[in-house]
Amino acid sequence: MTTPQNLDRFSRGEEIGVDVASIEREFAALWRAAGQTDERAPERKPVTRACLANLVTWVEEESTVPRVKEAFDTLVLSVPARVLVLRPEASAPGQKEFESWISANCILAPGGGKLVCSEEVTLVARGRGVEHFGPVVRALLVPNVPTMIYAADAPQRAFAALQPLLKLCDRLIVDTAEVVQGGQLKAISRLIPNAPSTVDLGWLTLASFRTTLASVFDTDEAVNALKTLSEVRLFAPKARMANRLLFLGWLSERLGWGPPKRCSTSEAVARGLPAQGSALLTVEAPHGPVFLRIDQVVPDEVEPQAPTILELVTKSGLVKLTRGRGAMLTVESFGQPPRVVALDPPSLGERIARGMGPRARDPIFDRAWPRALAMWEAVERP
Amino acid sequence: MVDAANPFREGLTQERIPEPCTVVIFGASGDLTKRKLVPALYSLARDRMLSRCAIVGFARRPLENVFRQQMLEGVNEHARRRPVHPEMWESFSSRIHYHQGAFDQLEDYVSLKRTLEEVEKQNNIPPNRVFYLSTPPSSFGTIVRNLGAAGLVPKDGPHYARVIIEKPFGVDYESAQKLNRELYEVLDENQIYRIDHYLGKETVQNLLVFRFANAIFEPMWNNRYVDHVQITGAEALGVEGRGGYFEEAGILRDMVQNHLLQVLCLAAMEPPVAFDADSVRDEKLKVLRALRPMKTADVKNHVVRGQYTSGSVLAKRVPGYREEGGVDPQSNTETYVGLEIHIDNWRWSGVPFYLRSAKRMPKRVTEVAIHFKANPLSLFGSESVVQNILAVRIQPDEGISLNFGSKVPGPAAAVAPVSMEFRYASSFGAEPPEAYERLLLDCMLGDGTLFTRGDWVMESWKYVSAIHRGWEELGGEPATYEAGTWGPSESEAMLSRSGRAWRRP
Repeated sequence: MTTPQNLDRFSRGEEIGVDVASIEREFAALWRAAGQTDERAPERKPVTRACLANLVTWVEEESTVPRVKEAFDTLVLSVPARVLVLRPEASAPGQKEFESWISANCILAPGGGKLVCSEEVTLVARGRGVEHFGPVVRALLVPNVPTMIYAADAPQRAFAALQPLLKLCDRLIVDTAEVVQGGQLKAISRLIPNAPSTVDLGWLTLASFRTTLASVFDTDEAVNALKTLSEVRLFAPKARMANRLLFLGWLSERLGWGPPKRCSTSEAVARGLPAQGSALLTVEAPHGPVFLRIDQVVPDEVEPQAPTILELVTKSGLVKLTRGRGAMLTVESFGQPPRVVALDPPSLGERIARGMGPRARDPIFDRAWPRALAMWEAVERP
Repeated sequence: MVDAANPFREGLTQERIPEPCTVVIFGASGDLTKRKLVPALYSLARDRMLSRCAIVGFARRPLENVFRQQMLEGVNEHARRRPVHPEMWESFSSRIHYHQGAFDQLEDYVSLKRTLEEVEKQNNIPPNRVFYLSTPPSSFGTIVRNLGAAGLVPKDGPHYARVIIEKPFGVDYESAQKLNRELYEVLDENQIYRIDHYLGKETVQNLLVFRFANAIFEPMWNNRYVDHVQITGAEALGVEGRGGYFEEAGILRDMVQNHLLQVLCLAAMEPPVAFDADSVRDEKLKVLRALRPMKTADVKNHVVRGQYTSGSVLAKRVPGYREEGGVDPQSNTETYVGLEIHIDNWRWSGVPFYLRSAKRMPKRVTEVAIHFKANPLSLFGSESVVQNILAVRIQPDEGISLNFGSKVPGPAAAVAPVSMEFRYASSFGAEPPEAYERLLLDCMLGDGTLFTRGDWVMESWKYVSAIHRGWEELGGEPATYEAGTWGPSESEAMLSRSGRAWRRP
């Protein structure tokens, strides 16, 4: 119900519990009230309600909620969207099967004076209540703007309820940067074939890494060196391994490698690999075999932010990229003086905004993704 | 651009990455190097848009030991990407060098060549070279001649040698012609990059995108729908200690010959056959060639020159132009110019383009405003006639606004003007690159679209020099306007003769 108290809470971005059938009516009433000047509250700014897209967000883990909510606060200025947060939960005695809340994400436009706001609806379904997601989402989508489904964490628990929603969307947004277990990666891989198109926020974070590696190969000599590539070594924190394997998937796609094969333990040991936490794969490149040494670094108290190191061994020399602290990348190539490049990792809000953008879809990702999956499977294989 | 054989480049958003190169800055001890050029190169490197780039400063003063430190100060203060990251700076500055030399000494160019070869070897950079002439125009010819004599600017070969020249490019038609001749003795036109930093501004470039990427505007962009066009380039500043320079230049040379005529061309040109350097520049040239020449009588009727007197700008008392340092107390140099320009072509016949540019106006603003014709019949009463104006703001607060009439809520059919606004800052979030960043990058990529071609320079001087000749023949003094106002009343009168008025930007 629209009360002055509700209006203030709404403008501050607080959630207001409403009946699912009256969500649109409540929004309309609150916006009307927010748009009116109030002589008793002269500090209140005029409000512009904006919507360029529907962003249906699937969140299974409680721990994911604050992270994505914070990201939505910053999203409003770049891609104001009606956000529908879908939270499937286990059924609990005494709790309703389906509940809904509405809130606003507002930000003061540059120059001040005007508050730009977008709408957010949170829908919690418990137990069999997930069956309601489809019909409710269909009713709440803003017409004539694109619809994106953002799987904020890998959907495993209520996977069956998410599948039909994919038919409603123009784009699926996943985030392999947050994947830490094989099961999560598998869940994402099951979604992708059913979506009209997919954007991976983890792929977007790799853009500066890819640009930097590309900058090493801008001369004919360097390109020729790739034809003598014999080994690629990847040292990466375990928690980032899925994302880093996507990088190797990209290398594989770009360099025309065949499917990866896991080398025997004796071969790995012969090449100096430790028995634990490492894998040695081999791929067939157009010029011959290439060994892939993959070391999962487990962070410890001394080095909680374990670095990622990528080495490409060629006959012309070594290319080494080291991502250390402070998101700086040190590039050493073919014996030249090292140079430092800033990676500027985007925040989650920035990544979501980019993922919703017109240039986010990348056919190279579509080709790199299955190769990355194959590598993950080869690495995970005992 | 980098070799297409690099398999990793495909699909990257930053596909326009130049080949590794060295930028040599002549006049490196000057303000522009510290305030604009090196900060722009740093920001490009910071954004991973340069793969490898070395910088060599060239000037007469012995700055070997302090040059890097001075550049760090400049970057800290002026770079778009701040604060400077220490590790990043260490890596970037390791490729900054300084070469002491005099512009007129050939042996200093011979030793510069040796320095360049060393720097390139050290950093594994091929001999791609950009020579930036941040020097007084009187040195342009000498520097280019010596570059040629030292074998630093070969016309052919696997690597490039390009020369960027700062404005002013000549002071009149004859001097520009002489300078062009001097350059052509050593360089091909495709090696010359005449810089006009206005063209590096995103909103200036957006004029083309706005016109040619949106189907709804171009059909109305002609004399059937447009009543007139106003182009304003106003500055709140005065001559700021450059009285001596401004006395020689005046606002017509300083702003109109280059910046405003460029903007006029972009607003009035036909669609190019392709978005490449020569196609765009061909169309811009056609606009200049279609300008109705200014004879002395036209100068009298269609040009207003003015000079500011003391007044108040942005709550600060300011002196009149003749009281400024370095200015002749009897000076007739114009600080304001208002022009009524006609483009005699099929599209614009009968549509006047009003240009004004001035110092000491109420605020700094550059914009193009398209004033559309009114409806043939007013259905809602004579008071409800709204002129639709499409304004493209180039600076500051870059964006586009469209004025149209809307019904006032209530029982009466009253119409009031409202405005629909697009603002760069709030729509894209990301900060646009500085003009110098874009232009330096384009030069490294060999893209001359945003640079001024020699024939355009000559045409623009032909037009502007005719106005100067007219003023000489007519004699008399410029009209005056109080600092902090929108110009002399004579300029208002020029528009009011045809029932129009200057817009308040």
